[in-house]
Amino acid sequence: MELNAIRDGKIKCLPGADLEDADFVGADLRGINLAGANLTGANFSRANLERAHLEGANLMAAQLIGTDLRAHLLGANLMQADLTGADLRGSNLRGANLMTAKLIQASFAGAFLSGANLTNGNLQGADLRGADLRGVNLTGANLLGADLSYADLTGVLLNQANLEEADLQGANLAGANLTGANLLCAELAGANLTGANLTGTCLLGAAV
Amino acid sequence: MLPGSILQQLAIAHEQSPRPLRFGVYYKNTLVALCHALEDSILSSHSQPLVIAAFQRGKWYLQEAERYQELAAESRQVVIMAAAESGFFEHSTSQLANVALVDLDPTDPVAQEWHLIILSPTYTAMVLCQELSPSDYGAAGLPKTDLERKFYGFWTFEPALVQEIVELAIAHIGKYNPSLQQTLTAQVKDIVAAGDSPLPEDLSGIVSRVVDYLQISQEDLIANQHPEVAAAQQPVLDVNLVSNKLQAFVRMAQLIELVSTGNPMATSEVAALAEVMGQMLDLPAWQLKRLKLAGWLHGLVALPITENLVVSPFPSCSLVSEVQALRRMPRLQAIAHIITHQTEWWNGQGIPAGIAGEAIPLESRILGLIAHFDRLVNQFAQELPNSPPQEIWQQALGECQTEAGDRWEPKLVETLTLLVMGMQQGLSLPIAPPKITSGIWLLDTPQAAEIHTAEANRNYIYGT
Repeated sequence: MELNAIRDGKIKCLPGADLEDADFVGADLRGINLAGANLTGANFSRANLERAHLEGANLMAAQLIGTDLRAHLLGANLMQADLTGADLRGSNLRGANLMTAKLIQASFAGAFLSGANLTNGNLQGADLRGADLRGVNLTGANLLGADLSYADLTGVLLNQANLEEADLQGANLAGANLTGANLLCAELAGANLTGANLTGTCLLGAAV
Repeated sequence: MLPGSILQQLAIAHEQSPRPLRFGVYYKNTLVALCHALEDSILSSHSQPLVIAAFQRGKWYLQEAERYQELAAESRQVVIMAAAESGFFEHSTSQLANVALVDLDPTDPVAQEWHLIILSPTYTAMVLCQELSPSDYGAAGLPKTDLERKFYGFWTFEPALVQEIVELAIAHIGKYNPSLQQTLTAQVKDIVAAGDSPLPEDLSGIVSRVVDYLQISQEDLIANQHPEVAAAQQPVLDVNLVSNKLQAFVRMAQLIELVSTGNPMATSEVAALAEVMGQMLDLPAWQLKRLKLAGWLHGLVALPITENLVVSPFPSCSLVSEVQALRRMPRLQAIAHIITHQTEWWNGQGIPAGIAGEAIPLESRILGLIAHFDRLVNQFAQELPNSPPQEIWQQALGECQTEAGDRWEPKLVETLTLLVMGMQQGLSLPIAPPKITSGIWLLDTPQAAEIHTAEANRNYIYGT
């Protein structure tokens, strides 16, 4: 059976494969090539996908809970996927679709997300320290308590986003759209807000 | 922040301080449980404190007036600030000799604040919050129920901060009642003269009570004792309760560290150093988070007294109760385990279990070394105030290196050496006070599979 062979690490090269709803819970899939594969609804929870090639893969509604996803995800579709607690440190997620994805407590430190779409994503408590978030769409996203310190948020769309208690220390928010965003008790020391739109933004208790 | 409010005055006073205050968001549900725990600790502490409470409106005071009768019996003085409503002055508690009322002008910014300030020689605590105005709620809309009302502010056990706030509050009271201001000023003078303890007595008992009361509120929410709170809003209130349970522990650990090192940032330094060290060892994300939280809480265990260390004023036997308090939160058991074993030695000569080598949890080995290193750095910085930090780090590292193989795992000392080299070449660590909301994830116990992977990774790192 092909699935067992993949799980056992015997098959490593599967670009464009159709693995919809496949079960890879806890599997060691380091370095696997699944670029452009159909992985809709697949379950990779607690699997190890370090250095895997997932460029352009369709991971819509996939389960990636606690997964080591320090992988190549350029242009991947992760819409509605569950990435709770996933490890995405330093990953390339440029142009990826993460609309309404669940990213609670996920680690994105140093990741590259420029041009990604995170509209209405749930990033509560996520670690985005030093991440490249230039031009990312975070409209309506929930970033309660997220750590965005020293992240590059140039031109980011954060309208109606929840940034309550978020850490934006040293972050670059030049030209960001924060219309109607909630920054209650957020940390903004050393943040660059040049040209940012703060119309209707709640900044109570924020440390500027 | 409302101009002229006590919260704003506190924020301004600390704007330029080396340790800026970080305000948090609190739902009324959380504040009620927190304040009840701190108030009930007055009854058990027998400390005869000065209590200053601000209730916004007379009706909120009247809801608590029966409780305040009991509290007044155990207090030197109680001051109630609120905008008077019917019954405010008439209630029997209001008539007590040691209860003073301050009828706030409804336009006074303090009438939008919620304070509970407790000052005594042996027990200090305070909650200082301000309510959001209707326009501040923004797109999310106004709260549907009383429990969902939102506040932002600060709470602490730290005597110096509490005293600072008492003085601000008394100055404000003076605008309404100068003779009460004089009475209170004299009382504060007596309390400060009588109290030389930098740490509240029975801090672990008080923290345990805070955690228990927040837990009860959480259970009430889960058991749907508050059907008026919409189901969608319950997780938000729940997260706020959990994060404050954790804050209670972090505050206790910070205070113990502050007293034993004199450095208010010691806890944050240890957490940041431990995390960087974990990154250098390529630990998985969940383990890094656990290590960082253990760093924030490591002060709950006093380090063993050796000739090299600043002598901790706390015998380790009494501090075990602080770790036991930690175990009250099931999801913190892993952290309790880590900090309990941070005093083991690589050669098995340490305490409490006398375990050796890799039998000591990896996080405990890292934390023990980092906490010792940071303590030495703080000690040398005090002893040699004119030395550049590079020299102080080198000296502290040297001490750790001499104990490699005996007290510390040699590989970890090598990693620390690399870290110190990096710092000497300008690597700066992101040393920030703990952000508790983001800390909640740390509480989740990793699955067995993840632990297995971590062990595999570790063997890979060390080539065994």
